[in-house]
Amino acid sequence: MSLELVPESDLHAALRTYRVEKDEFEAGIRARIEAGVVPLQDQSQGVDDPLLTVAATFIPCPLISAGKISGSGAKLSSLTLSQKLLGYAALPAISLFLLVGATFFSARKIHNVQKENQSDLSDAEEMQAAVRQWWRSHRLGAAFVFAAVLILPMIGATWLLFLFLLASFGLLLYFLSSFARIGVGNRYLVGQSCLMGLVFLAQAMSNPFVGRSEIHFVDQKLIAVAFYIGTLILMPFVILSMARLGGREAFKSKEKSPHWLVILGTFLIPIVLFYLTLSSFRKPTDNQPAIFGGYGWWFFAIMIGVAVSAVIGAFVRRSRKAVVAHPVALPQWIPGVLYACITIPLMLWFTNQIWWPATPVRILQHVESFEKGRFPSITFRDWEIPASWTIEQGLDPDLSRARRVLDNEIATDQKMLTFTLGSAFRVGLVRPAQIETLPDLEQKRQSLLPEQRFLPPQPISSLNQYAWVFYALVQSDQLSPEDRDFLEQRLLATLENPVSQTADMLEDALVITQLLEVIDRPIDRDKYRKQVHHWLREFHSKQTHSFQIAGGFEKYKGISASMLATSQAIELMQIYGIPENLDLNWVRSYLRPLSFRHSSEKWIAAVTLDRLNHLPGMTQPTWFEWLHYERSLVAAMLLVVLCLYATLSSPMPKEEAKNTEVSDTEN
Amino acid sequence: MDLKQLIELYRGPLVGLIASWGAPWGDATEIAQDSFAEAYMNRESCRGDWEQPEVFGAWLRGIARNRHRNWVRSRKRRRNHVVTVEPAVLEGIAAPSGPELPLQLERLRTAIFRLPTKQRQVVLMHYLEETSIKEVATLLSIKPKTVEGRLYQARRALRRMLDNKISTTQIGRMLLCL
Repeated sequence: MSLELVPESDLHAALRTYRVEKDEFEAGIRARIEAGVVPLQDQSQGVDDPLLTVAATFIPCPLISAGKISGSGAKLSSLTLSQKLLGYAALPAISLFLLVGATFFSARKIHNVQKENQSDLSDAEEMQAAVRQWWRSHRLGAAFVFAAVLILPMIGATWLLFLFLLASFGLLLYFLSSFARIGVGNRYLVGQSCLMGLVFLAQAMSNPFVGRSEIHFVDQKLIAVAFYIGTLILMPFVILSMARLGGREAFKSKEKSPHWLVILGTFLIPIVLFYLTLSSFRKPTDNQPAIFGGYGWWFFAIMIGVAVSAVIGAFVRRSRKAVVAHPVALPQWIPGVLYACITIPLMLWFTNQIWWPATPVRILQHVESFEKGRFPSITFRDWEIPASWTIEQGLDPDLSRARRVLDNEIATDQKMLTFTLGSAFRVGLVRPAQIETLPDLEQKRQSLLPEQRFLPPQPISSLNQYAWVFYALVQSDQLSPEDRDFLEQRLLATLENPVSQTADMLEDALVITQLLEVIDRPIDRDKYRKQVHHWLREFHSKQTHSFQIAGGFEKYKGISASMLATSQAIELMQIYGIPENLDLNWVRSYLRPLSFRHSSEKWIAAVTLDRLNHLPGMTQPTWFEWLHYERSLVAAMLLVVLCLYATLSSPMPKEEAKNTEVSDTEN
Repeated sequence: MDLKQLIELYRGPLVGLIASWGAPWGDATEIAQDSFAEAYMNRESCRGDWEQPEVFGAWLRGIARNRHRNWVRSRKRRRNHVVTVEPAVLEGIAAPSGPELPLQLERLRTAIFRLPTKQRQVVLMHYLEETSIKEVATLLSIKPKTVEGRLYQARRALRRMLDNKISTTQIGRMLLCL
């Protein structure tokens, strides 16, 4: 089937209106060639260094030139693949350090300029527009970077995050210093970028879930502290650079200086908040340690001192203004001091394990200042571990306070005694004269040693509740050699036939071993070593169930590591030795000193760590291991040093031209 | 060949080619001028003898492709901006664009832009300024026979569109949908 085609003449006619005018077209080309510049040409920036071309593409020009240069830099499409990759590598640092600072400071600058009605508004607006445009263009990449900063430390990849940040920041530094060499950018710009980046990273690293699924020997809050220290060091440089940037004008304002009541209120709010937070921790309650170890009042006094000096300063400035009618110094340092007032207590809080470590003296103090808690069984159980440690260490603790609490318990609340007497007997709180007064002793004796003794001997259920009976019977000399043999068989039967294979295995193994010692029938360690080591490996956890710290031992298999189970595991290792293929650095990591631990775990962790470190055959971590496991902290410190280097090595800003002009006129 | 001759040779097909990529005619002309200028200024970077029409054609097409990509990206960015327009500019835009075409030609022009990309490309390149098949083929780096084939297919497709007939391809697509 043939089909008629559309005539060519029609096609020519249809498209005729689109034809270009020959001479005009050629003239346009020649004009471009003569000018030597092709619109949309990427060489318009006049930058020869290929790396600077990358920088000009990824960093908004108005930002690094404080709004003096407009335009959006080079086109991304004009870069080669390697240049693009280089740019994307620097993107994390640009978005974290440069742009966060720029967003904050450009908005602030606009606000200041609007207040003072100055002519620099267009520069500031240009800067802010460039920053906005950058966020719009790179929102996906920036969102990815921020998400990575928040998520990576939580999934145990802090080191990976810092590796990227270090590489990225190195590139950014190169870019900025190169710009500074050609007269674009200054210390103020670099300083404020680094400052805001570090503040953001410090906030992110203050996240309580950071570093919980990796091996560490120190609290990972120290990373946040390193960043905060960096910001505190950078702050004066930024303020000084700002002063130089605008000369004395930067510190002068046509606005009224803030009323002293405003300043008082500004300082008072964080102080009151701090005081309220501190009040609940400033002294030991419910047998819990004081967080600031009694030094909280010092911080409070310092903050009050700072507030009073700020108010006096403000008052003096207002008085001077009334006498001399010229602009009054704008208190630029107030935000800085306020920041320090908030940051320093926070840093002290994060480092309280350094200023207030669990030394033997403090552990002894904790043991001797025993107080009955809300739940006596838990209080006694948690107290027993450091108490027995002080006895082992020969610190000779004064247990009179604990004895008084126990006497009171025996006299008033005998229902709960079953759960507390085991701990009390183990540390020698119960006096022989008190044994007769203990409830249900005879009933429990008959339960353990029935008249008709079946063979084979039955396991003991609820062993923990019967433990004190063994001590009581031995101390009151009620056990014959046959009774001891029978109890030994029942204890071994309990060890060999556990009720559940998934819970309390470590606790039962430890209690049985201890009770066999008590009845003078020591366990055959070589026979049971393999089994105990198997349980130790099985109940060791490297997971962060419910965001807990990884590396401890579990009470219930697969649930979460428990401090008590870990303490029991270490005691078992003292008796049976260290199992093979068990990385004790995980346990050491679990027991590391932290800025905050619930209840009396701080003391249990400290004594358990000491026991771990003194296990036979135990080796201390080498320097290499320290560096390897604390690489995130080292990287954070490196990042801070890089920021300081970047700020200090960048040139000081040139003074504003208008100041020079004014001085010339005056001369 | 000198620059003048090269412009004469490739002006029409290049503008048509850029228009076939989706640029409006005004922008297509600008991009074509930029491409010619850039190609000439960077002629030393051209692999081969740039004065040879075949070599220059391929070189020119590559530059035009990059410039068109830049233009697309900058257009996306411009869309993100909220701009204020002066009334005079609006009046300029609203001014009549030229003599009205007969209805048949208007329909033909609409139909051309509904053609498949490859057919649209050759139609715009060949019929805009009566460029020879050879130059079109050189610029597209394909054989002249292929250009001829595409032109034939395009003219047939246009006839069907103008006669409101359904092509076999369309029937096939509809069957596939069923």
